[in-house]
Amino acid sequence: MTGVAQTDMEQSLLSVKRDILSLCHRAGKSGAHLGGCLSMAEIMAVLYLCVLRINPENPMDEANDRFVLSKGHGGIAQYAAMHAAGLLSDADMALPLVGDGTFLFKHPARNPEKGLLFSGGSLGQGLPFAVGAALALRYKGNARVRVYTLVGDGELNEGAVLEGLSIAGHQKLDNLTVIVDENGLQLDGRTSDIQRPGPLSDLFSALGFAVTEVDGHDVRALERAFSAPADDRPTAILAQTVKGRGVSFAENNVDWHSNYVTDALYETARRELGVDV
Amino acid sequence: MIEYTPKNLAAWAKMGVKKVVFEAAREIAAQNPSAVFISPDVGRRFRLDEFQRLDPKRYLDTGISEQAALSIAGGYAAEGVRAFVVGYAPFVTARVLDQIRVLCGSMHLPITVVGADAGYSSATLGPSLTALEDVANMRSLPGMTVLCPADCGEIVKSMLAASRLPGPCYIRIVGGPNNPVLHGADFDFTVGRARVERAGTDVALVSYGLTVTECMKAAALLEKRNVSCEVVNMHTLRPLDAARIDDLAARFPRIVSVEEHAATGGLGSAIAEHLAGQESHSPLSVFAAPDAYLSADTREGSLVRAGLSAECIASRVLALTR
Repeated sequence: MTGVAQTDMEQSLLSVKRDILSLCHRAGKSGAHLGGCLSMAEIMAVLYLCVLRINPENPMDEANDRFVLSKGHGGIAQYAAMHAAGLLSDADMALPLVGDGTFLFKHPARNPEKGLLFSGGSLGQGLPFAVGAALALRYKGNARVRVYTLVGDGELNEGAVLEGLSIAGHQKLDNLTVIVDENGLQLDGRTSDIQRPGPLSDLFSALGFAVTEVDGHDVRALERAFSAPADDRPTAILAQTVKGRGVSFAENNVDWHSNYVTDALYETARRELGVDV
Repeated sequence: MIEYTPKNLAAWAKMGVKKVVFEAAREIAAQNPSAVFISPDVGRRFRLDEFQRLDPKRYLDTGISEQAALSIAGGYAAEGVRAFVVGYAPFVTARVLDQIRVLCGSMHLPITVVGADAGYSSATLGPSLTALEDVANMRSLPGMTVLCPADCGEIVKSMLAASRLPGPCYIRIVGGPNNPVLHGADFDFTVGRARVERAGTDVALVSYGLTVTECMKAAALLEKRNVSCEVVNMHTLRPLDAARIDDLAARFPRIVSVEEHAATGGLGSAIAEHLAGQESHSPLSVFAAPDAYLSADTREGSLVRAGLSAECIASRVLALTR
């Protein structure tokens, strides 16, 4: 699926943002993670449209690349990108976000038949799970398949993330790519005010990763970053992003970690994202 | 092919619970081309490091990273590779309860967690190494099978049984080297089916793990006092053998549960949960660890202080039946 033409990519990205906004609106008063979904929109779009090799006829194909969403509150953005890539149908996207008879939960629930590998929501678990999947693929001799996992920068507070990264580096897991959505905000405020670990590039390098820093909203730059993973160690892509990107009331606003998208806010956001046509 | 000969059973008991884990692991590796063993820096204690010589792919030492050990096991399991996490009971259950909740309780991945040094096995090292809540934690998770083998032969059979289960499993291991032998010859071990180790008529003693042997000794002491005890080995705490509990409730005027574990959430709780729905049932006495972490002591000393040694069990049963 590599080499998506620029206009197609622009259309797909609009579709991803439209779906993110639509699902967040549909979540109603219980709220949805609009901020963190918009910070990862381009990352998800590039992954599902240009990077991941997935057989659309069989989400459980052993030859598929694996994607593990570690920041589980970004589930809606994952569904939106899967929809744009044809891996989820229009009918799937019309399902409710709660209850029996749906799988489209705000925090994804493991559902391999739909291509959802991990039950998210408890932070710090998806990344070491992805490390396990990468080790298992190596164990099975399946060298062609690559494992990608997306973590939030706030999620890096979790000690289990450090455990997983350290093991990945030690094991020289060259079939693993870790993407950090560096949107700079977490539930309680600015990530830099809450825990400042120093430059992430230094941290990841010290743990044995090949590190690429990229503008996480620049589709072409993301494509380039994904295109050349290291062949002797795990790869980290540190994506600088803006939480709530493109929506004035949500951009860089900690209140939009999770919040209620009212009908009025929905209309405003549709206009601002250019998805109202 | 592993053999449950009297000679092997005696040899395993002598080498002790930790090293017998490797005997089972080697057999599982031989039977299943897709099975790995993961340990957070305690593999050497379990001889699992021998895999580095035999088949390095089979063994992963995560370092002192229990959380990652569990999540990595989940990654293997999701890829269809049978994963066993072997460590000290408090650190591979309570410390990683959230990981096990998500991976096993919610995602139903077939991970087997082997928790050694449970109960008072390592009580000389104090409360941090004393696991008295692991059964409660593991038993509370949907879909979990909880096995508590009573001797080294049962450890081997538990691990082999876990390797064939469709879902997740916790195996609780108590004791050290020179463990008591409950089964001197081959025996039936079926997940979910309690074993009657000794028949009796007055009191049913129901236990699991090494306290089954304490109950056998207590039954021998009580026989001399004209109290006939049936000893039931409830090696599977989940799913509970409800039919066996019903049978005991029908046949005995009193049931006594004995466990090297907190009263909350353990075997006594499990039996009470089952019996509570019935119109009437025999009284149940729960002999369990006191509601405290005892100061450091030997396992034998701790059992006496907890009232769970054979002599303590016998005198407590006598007091109940007088």
